[in-house]
Formats: sequence, structure tokens, C-alpha cells
Amino acid sequence: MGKQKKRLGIFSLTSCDGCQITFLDMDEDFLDLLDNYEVIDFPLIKDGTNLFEEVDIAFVEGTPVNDEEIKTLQKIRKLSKKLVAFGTCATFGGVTAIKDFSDDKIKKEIKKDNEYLNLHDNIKGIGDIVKVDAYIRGCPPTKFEIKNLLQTFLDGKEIEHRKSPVCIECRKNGNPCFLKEGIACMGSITYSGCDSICINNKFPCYGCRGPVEKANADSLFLVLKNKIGMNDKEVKNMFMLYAGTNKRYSNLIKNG
Amino acid sequence: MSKIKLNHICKIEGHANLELEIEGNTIKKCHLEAAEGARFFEGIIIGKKYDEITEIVSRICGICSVGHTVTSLKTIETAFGINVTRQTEVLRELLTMGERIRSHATHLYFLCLPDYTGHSSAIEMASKYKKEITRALNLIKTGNKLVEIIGGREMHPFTSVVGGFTRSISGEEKNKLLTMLKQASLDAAKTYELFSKIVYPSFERYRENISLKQFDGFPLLEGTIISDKGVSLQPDKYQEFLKESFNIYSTSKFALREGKEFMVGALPRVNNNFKLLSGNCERLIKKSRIRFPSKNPFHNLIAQSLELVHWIEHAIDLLSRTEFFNEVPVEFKPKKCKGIAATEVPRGILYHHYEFDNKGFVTKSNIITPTVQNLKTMEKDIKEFVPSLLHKKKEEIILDIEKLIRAYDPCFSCSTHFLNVNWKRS
Repeated sequence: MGKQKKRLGIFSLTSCDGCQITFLDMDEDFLDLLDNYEVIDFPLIKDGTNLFEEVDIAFVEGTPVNDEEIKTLQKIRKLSKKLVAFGTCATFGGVTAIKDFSDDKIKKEIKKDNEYLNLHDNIKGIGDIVKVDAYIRGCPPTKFEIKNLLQTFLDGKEIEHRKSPVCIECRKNGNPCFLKEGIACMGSITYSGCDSICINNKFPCYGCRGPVEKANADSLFLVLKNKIGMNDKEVKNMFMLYAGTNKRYSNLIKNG
Repeated sequence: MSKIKLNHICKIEGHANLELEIEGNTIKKCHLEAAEGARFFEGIIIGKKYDEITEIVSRICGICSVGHTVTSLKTIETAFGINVTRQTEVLRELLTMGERIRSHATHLYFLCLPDYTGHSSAIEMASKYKKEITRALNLIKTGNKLVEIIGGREMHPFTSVVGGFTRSISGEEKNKLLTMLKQASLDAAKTYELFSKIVYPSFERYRENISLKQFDGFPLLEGTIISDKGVSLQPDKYQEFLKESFNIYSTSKFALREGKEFMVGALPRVNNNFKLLSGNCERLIKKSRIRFPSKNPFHNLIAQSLELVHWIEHAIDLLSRTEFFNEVPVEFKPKKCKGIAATEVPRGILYHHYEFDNKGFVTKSNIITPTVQNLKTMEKDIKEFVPSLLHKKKEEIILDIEKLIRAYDPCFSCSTHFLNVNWKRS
């Protein structure tokens, strides 16, 4: 008899579907992981898998935007031994949460549409709603982190939490510093693990992985305003892009 | 009266339900409901600066993030009157071709093929259909590599910015892509052979075919909006013929032309432009029994496989004859203005429309995705298709309906983004 495979579920709440597509983009590695995992739920590519069975590990992409999705999330939690917040939307609410930081004029427009949609106006990461066992951040997440997490889970180990920001990876990669060149960049406070992919390709970090634990967001906020010369609105827009729901960022967005 | 309710249809992008009520031989109710939560993209980009818009709207869809990125940049550049270099155009065309290849290959092999081989997913097919699955993975990998090398990453590419690119590609990268594309061209031809031989339901219904028409070839990022009923309009006039509304039962809007449904996507593109397909496509069509224009919506799969052949051939040609140099984005000044762009993305025409204040902050926006345009046609098709299935068992009817929905390659992540901006007010 073969070894017992772990039961895997890949679920999606309101999102761009990109995180689950990253699974498919793993090419042969996706087929390899089937040696150890049995795909129980994966509605994107598998029929009859919206029934929600018990799984050993569930990946949840996206963020719940209404009561129904919150119930779905709670159901997944109940049926899963381990639950992974998969991607930036699941971790922080991602771009879906931007609407909650909009000014009143836009909120009014949204409210009109929302009369029958009944969407919540306090979008948040799934960790604020149910217990989350591990986070994979990023918009999109990297394939390496998915593979790494699945292996770590097989080995029965805990996922290591990264303490350093993208800045450290960026310096190792020998990139010139955007901030020193007078261009806004959030690499100094953003959770690492992306290997500074944007900056390596001459595009500044917009912080899609959210803040690192000891991020000094206040200090970067002032640097962007006083040294880079961005106005208040521009800096706030940058902080609300991916992880605005994080307390350190939301305080800055609301109070400046 | 019998009722069919499909909750959360699998193997499509995003979340959707279908509600059908059948009385005798007639369909009393047919609601295709987008069940994805709305994300109000048109609202959240208001008040954002031109250099942040693309980053945000790319997140409308993980499957066609290149489409949203490139269309967004073209809209901003049209608004500010920026003329990008030919190299920038070439790189964006290649990015778009890369996405076309991976999106079609994923749809054909992972979402559709299992229906025709009697499997619940491509995972179950992997042992018996190893050749096909390996071919699919190779095509997806090739498309992804194009997007990754040119766009910086496979999904949500970021190197293409307003006015140009942050970086070019090296000779080494170009050769790597050419090697992969040449191998993939064989896979694409085999894909056409496979999908043109499948026995599809013989369901034919005329629906207006809308696509772009490009003056120098099969449409991609430029052109006039045309239809086989004689529409010929510049993209900036799209509001003259497209009207958007929404149903109380769905979180997605839908679009109509003069009160009638129409179709966009690979099939209308091929129906309207098949004479502009590559030589290899022409040879393959001749060898098969398929002829265009076709009124069978299932032939959208065949049209997609033809586009795979066409765009791989075209990408090889374009890459081989282009020398790439280091360039910096074109300089420009934001101004109070309006921009509209329409491009062909995997599932049909995508419209972006932004208005800016004099500092380059968005004051209004409108985005119309392909699935919004196809929703009513899909409902109408289901209504006309189902009566011919009523002699079958319920499970078989459901499978046939799902096959029809999947043939359209709908994307509900894309379609449920709306904000109902009142355009007439000002």
C-alpha cells in the first residue's frame, strides 16, 4: 500500500483568482506535489468540488466581502486541520479593501450600488475572522513559498516567520536605492520573501506583501512626504494600496 | 415545472450560479448569476494618480492581468497624448501574446478537455492523457516565460509603465524565448488537431460577432470595433453602441447593443478576421472539416486553438526580426483630459476609459470586460440550447449546459468589478 496522502483544498473568496492560478503555473512541480497530496477541493479546475469535505490543509485566497462569504470561510475553517491565508487579499484584504479608505463622495456612489449587494464596509484579512495557521503573502505569492509551505507541512514543522524587510534582499541583489534617487519605494518596511523582484527590474516596491513586524511605517511616511516630496494624498494612496487594513498603515491613512 | 440550480459552477474563473426553470419544452427562467463579490474598481481608482492606476486595475484579474495592464497604460497614454516607441509597442504585443497562449492553453486543457474525456479534472487525466497534459504544461510555461521575461513576473507584470518599459530584454533572453516558442508551435498545431476533431453538440444560433479590426493583421491591441452586421466605430465612440445595465440577481453588469446581445472573444475574432490568420492556420483549417464563420458557440474552443497557432508563429516572427535596445520611458506632462482604449484580450474586447484632472488624478472611470459583454448571449444560448436536451438525464443536461458556459471562457472575477457611475450627470 502506498503512503497516506495529505488532503488538500484550494478555495477562493472574492479576488482576482490569481493566487490559485499560481498553483497551476507551477508546471511539473504541481504534478509532483500530487505524489504527497490529494486534491480534494479545487473548484477552479475540478468538478463537484464545492461540497466542502474535510481536508488536512486548506489554502484560502481572496477576502470575504459579505455574510455569505464569511460563512463559507468559517465552514472551511471547521473542516480544515490547517488553514493558510493565501496571498495579500487573504492576509490584509488587498486591493478589495481600498474602497473602505475612499473619500465620502466615492463611498456614496458605492453605497448606491451596494443597496442590494450587501457588501461589508470593513474588509479585512481572514486572520481577523478565523484562526489562521500560516500566511503566504504577496500579490501574487511566489511559487517557491507555496512549495516551501507544502513541504514544511509534510515535515510537520512550523513555518518560519521572516523578520527582515525587502530592503535587505534588495541590497544583496546589488540594486541602487530608489529612495536615495528620490523615488518612492516601500522596500524598507515591506515583508521580504519576493527576492526584491520589482526593484531588480527597476520598478520600485509598492509594498504588496504588507509590513514586516518591526516596520517603522511612521518614519517612511515622513520620508516620502519631506524627502521625496509627495503630497499627503499621494503617500496615503500608496499605504492603502495593498495592506491599508494593517493598524500601523490605517492609523497613518486616517490621521496622517 | 422542473428547476435546475447550479451553485458555484466549477472549472470557470470566478464564482457564478445558474438558475433555470423549465415548463414543458420552454425555459421560463434563465439567470446566469455572477456570485463573486463586487470590488468597485472603477470607484477605487477615482482620486488615484495616473502612475498607480495600472497597478490597481491589473488586480481585476489574475488570468488576464496583462490585458488589464496594457489596456490601462494605453488609455493613460491616449489621454496624455504620449507616443511610445515602436520597441515599447513590440514588447507589449509580445506580453499580450504570452498571455493569450497561457490563457487559451489553461482554458482548453484544464477547464474544457476533461468534459470531453469524461473526467472531473485534468488531475485525473494525468495518467491516461500524459501527452496532452505535458503539452498543456509546455504551452502554459511558454506563455508564462514570455510574460515573465518581458513583464518582470508571470502575473501582474510591472515593467511596462506609462510611456514605456523600465527595462528591455537581452539577446540571451530573446534566444531562450525563441527556443521555447519553436517547440510550442508544434504543441499548438497538435492542439488544433485535437480540438477540431472533438464532436461538439451541433448547436447553431446566429449572434452578432463583435471584434476589433486591425489594419495590418489579426487584431490584438489596435483597431476599429467592427461587427458582421456592419458596425465600424473608433474605440472612443464605444458608448454610442454599448449600453451597460445590471440585473438585481447578479453582481455583474451586462452589456447590450441596441437592446440585443452579441458575442466577443476568440470565435468572433476568427469569424470576422479568419483571412488574416497565419499560413499555418490556413493549412490546418484546410486539412480539417471546420469552416469559418461558425455559428456554433462550442467552436470558440477551436478558434482559441487557432489563435494559439497564430500567435506563437507571430511571436517567433516578431522576436526574430526585432533588435532590442535599452530605452527609457517617454517624458510627458499630465493634463486635464480623457482617454479611452480598446484591446483584444483572451476573452474578447476590453475597454478602459479614464478622465483626469490637471494634476493627473482620475476623476471618472469606466471599464467594460468581455464577460460583461457575453453574459446575455450566454443566457440566450442556454435558453435555446436546453430544449434540445430535455430527452436526456438531468446529469447529462447539466454537463451539456456547463460545457456551453465553459466554451465561452467566462471570467467572473473580471465581470464583477463595477461601480455604477452616472455618466450623464455632468
